Amino acid sequence: MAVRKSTELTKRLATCSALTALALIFSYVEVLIPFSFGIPGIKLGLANIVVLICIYTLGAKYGLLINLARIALVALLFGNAFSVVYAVSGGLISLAVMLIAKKAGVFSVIGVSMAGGVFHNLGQLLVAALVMQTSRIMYYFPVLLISGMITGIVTGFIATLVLRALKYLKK
Amino acid sequence: MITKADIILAVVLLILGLGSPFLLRADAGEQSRVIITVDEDELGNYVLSEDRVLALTESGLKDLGKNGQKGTGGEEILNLIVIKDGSVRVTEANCKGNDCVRMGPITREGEIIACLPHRMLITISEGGETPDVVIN
Repeated sequence: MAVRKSTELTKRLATCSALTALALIFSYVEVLIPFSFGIPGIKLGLANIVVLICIYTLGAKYGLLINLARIALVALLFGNAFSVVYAVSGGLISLAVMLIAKKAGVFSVIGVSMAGGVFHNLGQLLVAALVMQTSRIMYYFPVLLISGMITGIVTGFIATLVLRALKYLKK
Repeated sequence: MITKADIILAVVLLILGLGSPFLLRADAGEQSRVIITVDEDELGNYVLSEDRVLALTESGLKDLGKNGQKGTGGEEILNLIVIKDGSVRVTEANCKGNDCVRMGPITREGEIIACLPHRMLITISEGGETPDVVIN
């Protein structure tokens, strides 16, 4: 029994490490090729695919761990003091909302991802308003809300395909 | 793959997104400034809450006082700008179109009156500090 438990833990550790590495690579790809569509502040959020897969296969705790590890690594490798604040606020709010949406049980992976995308942008915008001490930046909210929806749907769709292939979702 | 709840969520978010500009539109506050520029040179920066009459002439912007009692010294007025009760409007213009006059008063932050013939812009802007730096 003890042997089986430690095997299970090792397996989870390996899966988490692989997922963290994958999330890091996705973040790196977005640093290299910014899918910004000419509008500042908009990213595809490829790393969200990994976070989604993680919360659906391993659970909320591992989703949080992988997301934090990814943010810390991205900050060390490509970021600066400001980008960490934005990444943490966006990442944590988005994860919290996705977990709530998932728990509600009525949304598909795409719906969960869409909510996550919108709240990721909203979280970053609120921090930006605090940092710059101006509420005028909230005028940007509609742009970020709609872009968050679109990128959320795209990443949610990809995550759906992956989860089906992994047999975690029925067709 | 997509549930009914997804679609409801999407519709709610879309309505919020498209409706929020109207909810967020800030009324001008005590600190709001009226900024008058010609060719992007700032000619005047006044407090919106203080009544004032301004005249744009060939030689620049002239302050005609609270009720416009002062004259321009014989110079032709290109645009007559009136700041009154927290609103700004152009009451006279010597051009043919008079678009700026017909725009009526502006009261909210971010609103603009433009006069193309004289390359003049009147903007209401948030008072107080501006950000030191904007990070992409």
